[in-house]
Amino acid sequence: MGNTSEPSMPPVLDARDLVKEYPLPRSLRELASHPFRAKRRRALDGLTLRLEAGERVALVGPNGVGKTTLARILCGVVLPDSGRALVGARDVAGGGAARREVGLARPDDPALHPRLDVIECLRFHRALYGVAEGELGFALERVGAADLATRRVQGLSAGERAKVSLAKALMHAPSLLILDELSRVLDPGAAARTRGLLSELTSAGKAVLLITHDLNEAAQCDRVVVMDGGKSRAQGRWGEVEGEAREVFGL
Amino acid sequence: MRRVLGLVAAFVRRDLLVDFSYRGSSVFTVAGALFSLWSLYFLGRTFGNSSPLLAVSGGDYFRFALVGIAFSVPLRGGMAGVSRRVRELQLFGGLESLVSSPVPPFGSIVLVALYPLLSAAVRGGLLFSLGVLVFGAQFPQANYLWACVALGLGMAAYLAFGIVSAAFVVVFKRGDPVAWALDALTFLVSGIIYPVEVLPRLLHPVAALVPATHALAALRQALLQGAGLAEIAPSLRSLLLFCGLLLPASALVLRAALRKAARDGTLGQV
Repeated sequence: MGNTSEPSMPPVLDARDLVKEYPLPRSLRELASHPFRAKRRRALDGLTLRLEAGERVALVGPNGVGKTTLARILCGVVLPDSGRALVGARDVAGGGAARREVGLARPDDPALHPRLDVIECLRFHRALYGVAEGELGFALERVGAADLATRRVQGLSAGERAKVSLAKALMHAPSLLILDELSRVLDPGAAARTRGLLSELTSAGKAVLLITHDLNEAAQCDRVVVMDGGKSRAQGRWGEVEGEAREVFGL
Repeated sequence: MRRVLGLVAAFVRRDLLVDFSYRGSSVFTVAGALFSLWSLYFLGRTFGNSSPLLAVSGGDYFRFALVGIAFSVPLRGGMAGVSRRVRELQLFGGLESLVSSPVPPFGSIVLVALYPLLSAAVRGGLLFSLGVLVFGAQFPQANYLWACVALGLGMAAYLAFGIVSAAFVVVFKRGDPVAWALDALTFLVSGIIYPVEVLPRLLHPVAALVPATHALAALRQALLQGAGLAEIAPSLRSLLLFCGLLLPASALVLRAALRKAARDGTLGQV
């Protein structure tokens, strides 16, 4: 019995059993004693995570638990050792179409060339993603950065760069938006505007993944995933996972 | 096709703007070109116009060396420029953002290579023009069409070396000693400022394995003697063979390098 006849929407993000280990540099002594034994650090240890359309999820955890590795896997710049991540039912390791479904904003966004004007950086991004010209100004206006268009990136403050990075990530209308510690450099006004923008996006059916150390920010999300040791230690509403979240930070 | 042209324009425009943001660099380029041409001009006057080894240029050393120097720039400069651009992208993190875009990684690197190639071709053209306009070198019989074909094939062969060099940079995060060695070998044996015939016989087979030797031979025949397809066909055949072997091989090497970097998670590392 039940509602088996209703077609279910696929999740925006469906990451299963992601494992990622990074090779570590070895000393000459280690190389001499065990030349073929690799030294590795496990960044993700079987992480499973789903995000539904319209959901805003916070990913919290101390430094080095694999949050940024997850973001890099979702962007396709790191391949998982095992497991897979589907965005919009497409495997991110497959490249192409799946890459259009992901937008990443971060304060130190390397897509913004320091020697170029903001508008030129966004024009380049527009060409990479095949976005219409009109989206460029619209994206800057949405994040309150229209006045930065003709400024050179290297002259921007960290907060201004974060806004431009967010505009860049929004331009190609991804179904999954990842914000990697963006709020830590935004002033209170810009942070409030960004929260409003994220609400608009989730209302429009986009999914938002906030990677953050700010527990107040995490508390405002639909769901919080507490990461520890490369895997999800707890998932749920803030009230359900607050204890775990404070514990992993040693608070 | 429109998408590809849009990407080509976007990559070239971006790199051009970055280049122009360093004011004064073009002044140094012109000054450097003038100084190197002056050296060749006085060397030419020292040797006179009667060396039998310079038959292709009617014994004129300056015209012989001008073609060698000017057109080795797009060949050698293109190769070094590609790996240098990839290294720059790696250092400020742009490589990671390119690879995360919908453009396939191999396509991204080829697009990254376009500006260094174009800018090296412009610098080569500038040297050649200065040789004609400032130093009075004459090319009355020049067959520019076939010279362009030979140059294009030579640049394509060196693009393959540039891509292999970029692959080295992607994996090892260092300037590529292979590219450096190849560049030095090209300068030594391909007949840039002296004819290949003056090399010891032992080095002749080595010279034949360097694409620049064939590109420069065809360029000199076309520009100095007005040679057409029939005369430069052997050189063009060799260049086509280099391109046919090297370009697919370089694509495989780069793909493997990008995959290894993505597996190791080192694309964004410097």
